[in-house]
Amino acid sequence: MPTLSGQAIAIGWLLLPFLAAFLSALLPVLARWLALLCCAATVFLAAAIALGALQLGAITGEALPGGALPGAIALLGPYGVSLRVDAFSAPFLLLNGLVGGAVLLDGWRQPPPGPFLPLLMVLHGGLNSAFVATDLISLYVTLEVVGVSAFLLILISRSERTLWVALRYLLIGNTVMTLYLIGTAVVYVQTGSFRLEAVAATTGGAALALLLVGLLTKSGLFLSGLWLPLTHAESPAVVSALLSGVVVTSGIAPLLRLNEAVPALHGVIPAIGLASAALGLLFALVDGEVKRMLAWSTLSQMGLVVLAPAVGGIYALGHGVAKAALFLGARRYPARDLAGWKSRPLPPGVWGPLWIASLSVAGLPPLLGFTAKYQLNKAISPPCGRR
Amino acid sequence: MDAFRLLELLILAALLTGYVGLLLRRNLFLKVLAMDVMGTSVVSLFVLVAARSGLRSPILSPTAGVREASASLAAWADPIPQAVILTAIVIGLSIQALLLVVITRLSRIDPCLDLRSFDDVGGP
Repeated sequence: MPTLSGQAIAIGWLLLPFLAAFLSALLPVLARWLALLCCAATVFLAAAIALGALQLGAITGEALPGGALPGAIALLGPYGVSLRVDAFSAPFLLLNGLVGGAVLLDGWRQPPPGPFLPLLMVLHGGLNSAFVATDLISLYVTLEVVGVSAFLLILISRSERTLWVALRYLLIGNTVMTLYLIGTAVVYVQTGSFRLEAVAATTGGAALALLLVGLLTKSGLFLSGLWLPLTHAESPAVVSALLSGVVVTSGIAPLLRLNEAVPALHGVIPAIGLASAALGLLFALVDGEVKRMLAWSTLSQMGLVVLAPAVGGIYALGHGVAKAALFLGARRYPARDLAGWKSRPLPPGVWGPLWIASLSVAGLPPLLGFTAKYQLNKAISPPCGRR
Repeated sequence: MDAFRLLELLILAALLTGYVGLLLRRNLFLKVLAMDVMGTSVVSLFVLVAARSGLRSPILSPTAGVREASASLAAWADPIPQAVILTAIVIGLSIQALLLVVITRLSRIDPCLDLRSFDDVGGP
């Protein structure tokens, strides 16, 4: 049965990072290789989904023949965990694998102190699950796993500055997830289901509003995202790369899935995205501190990601890889304050990645950022033309 | 049904109390405590949701006849929200523990745990 084997592969791949994290705590010698294995597995799987979907033209929900991965997986009956490993999640998974691998290779010789690698693997696994989960409770659990492991990663440098930033991160994250949980309770009372599709059947805006507050704050959009830049800027460079590159998209991917399932959101989400893009841009222009400026730019780019759900994944991929490179280089930048850059030379080996990543975010033709922006432009122009 | 509505309002009041406390308190420990009040009220909300169809535990014992079971079918509690909220309780507890560890570390910087003294630490 090809479908069954595909399902087994998908579940094995989801469990791999958690098993690897446990194993690496027992055998620290293997930790780097296990982490690399997890990232490589995710990249391969994402590539397999993307190629399979391109060949067949299948987008969602269909089981692909020939031992390929199944679209939708429902475990433990109608109230159980429902996952969807589809073409929508492929760019997000690829992004997760690439950024995880980059962070890992950046510290290959000398990994950051403490339990960095096991935490990296747990974060990686949590993100993978968050990208493929399609029921509200699984999403809650995975987002909390992501939140807690990101919190512990921020604390890895053990400086006093990060203590308060990490505390704030988890406190806000947990509070909004509490609100999200109330939203799921309302959805369950009204529809008797925890599926994302059930949200469309709810009456009154309470459930939808509560769920949105949770997801928007997690993804750092618009007003609820104003708290994120400080967190990104104050964390150690490797953790900033993870937070700004991938962790923000753990809220974006479910948000786009929710947008697809609930027609009532089609007008709201693009408006929030546009407002977020403008707001982030303004803050980025006036901020003179390099890491904070990059974090504001993340806020603005995430606004663009939610504009068109169909190309959101590829846009998030282009942005995440470039932003992770920029943050990883941040340790070697001459000064944290941009005003000091004029008087000091850039160290050799920094300007190349800096140029390429910045130009990709800006959207220069041969780079991924251009492809993403071009597709976004194509995706949003028809409705504008009709008006 | 009136009791259900009353309990719902009480839970909502507890939730709002926690939320307002979280926003207004300047002491970090009290903030975490307020967050716990919110978490607990969400747990009770789920328990209340589970009890809206009845209070009997939904376990069919082989000794009781099927007829007897189906007679009292309407009075069974809904097991799904109860099962779901167990996960949330565990997550809430572990997050609480992590936050308290960080607060013990922060108390070395400022024993009063005042929010304002940390905003400077995190700032530029």
